[in-house]
Amino acid sequence: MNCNQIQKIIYSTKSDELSPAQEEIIKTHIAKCAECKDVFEKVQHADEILSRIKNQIPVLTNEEELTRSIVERINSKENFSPRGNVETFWNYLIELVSARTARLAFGLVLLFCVLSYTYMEYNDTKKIMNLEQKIDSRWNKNFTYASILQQENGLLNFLSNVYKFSEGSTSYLKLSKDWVVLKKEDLQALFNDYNKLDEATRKRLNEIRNQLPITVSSKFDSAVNDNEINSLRKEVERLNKELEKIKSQRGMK
Amino acid sequence: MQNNIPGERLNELIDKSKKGDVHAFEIIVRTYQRYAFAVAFRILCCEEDAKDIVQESFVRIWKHLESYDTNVKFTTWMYKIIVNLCYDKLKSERRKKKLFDNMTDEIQEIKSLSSVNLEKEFTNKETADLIKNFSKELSAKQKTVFVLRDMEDLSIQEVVEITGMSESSVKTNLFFARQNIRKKIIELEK
Repeated sequence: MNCNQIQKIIYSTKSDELSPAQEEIIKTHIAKCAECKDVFEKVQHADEILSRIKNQIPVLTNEEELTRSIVERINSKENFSPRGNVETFWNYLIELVSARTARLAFGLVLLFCVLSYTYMEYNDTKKIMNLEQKIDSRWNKNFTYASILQQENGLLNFLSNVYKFSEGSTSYLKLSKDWVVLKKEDLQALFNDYNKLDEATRKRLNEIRNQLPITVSSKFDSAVNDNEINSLRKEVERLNKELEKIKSQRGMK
Repeated sequence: MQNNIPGERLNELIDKSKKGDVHAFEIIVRTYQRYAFAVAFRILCCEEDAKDIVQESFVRIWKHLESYDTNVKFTTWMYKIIVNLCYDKLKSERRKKKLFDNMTDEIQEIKSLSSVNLEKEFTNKETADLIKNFSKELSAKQKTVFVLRDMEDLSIQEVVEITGMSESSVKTNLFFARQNIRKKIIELEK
């Protein structure tokens, strides 16, 4: 061993911790090396000083006061025996929940909130889409007939049907395939238009009407009445309100 | 460490304390608080801080008595709690010192050991000044290991149990601490 290695051992190891082999090596080395001998002696002297400090047990003053303050603290409500009363049981339980567990729980709660919110959003969107579809279908129902007529032969076809079934006093028509709603004044206006037509045209209109792909009920006045129209309107209004409510809750316009 | 309570009696007191007997626990406190103070004082080198740590340690011991494993020596368990608190305190003090670099330390700088009368009994303040001067370049870990092994005379195995460090880590930190402290003393002796 060289001087560096020897000095490293001398500095870092207490003499009573040296193995017999180490002790022998150091003893042999310092016998012939003045520098390492000097270090060895100085370390021994340093150890004497350390030993004096070690033997100097720090004095605890006011022992009684310290004991009292400890006992006071364990007697106070904040500290408790694990087998203490029920009130302190909850404190104990809270203490058992380590910071890591609390963080994990918080993460799980957060994840649950995000998933719940996403699910609610999805459900609401689905509901809104359903309601919009329902409302559309209700109104479409009312205009289907007009739309068919428009596609087929335009106003003349429509007039021909109106003529045929407008001799009664009702303002509504019911077609077997779907609904159509007309005001009495509109019906009258259509009827007047029809009356202005010449005979040939009227004949032509009737021919066209017979070619229409829809059948028309002759009992239109009894099939459609104010109650049915009102209930349809109410249903659409209700659906609209429901839709608006959901949209405003979700902050949609 | 001189144990003032025989093992059987100590176990009996611990059992009673577990059941909420404050008086039994008070006997344990009275017996061990001076040893607890000695180790805390040597690590922290401050009487007030050491007393605070002792108080906090015994409160924690009381709170966690239920989890105390009787296979472990009571003093080892007690030291473990004290050392953990001291270690945290040391680290926070070092952080504070780094943050407020211009803060003056209470340490009484020793220029030479010839000015210190080593023959007389030391006051707590003098002991603290000596330990502080010798160990001011040590890390919290090195200082803790040094105090436990070389001042409290605990075995390496006990130091391992108390600090939770590996044996090789304890030895490395201890060797470095000894080297540093011995060199410091030799330097102050000049």
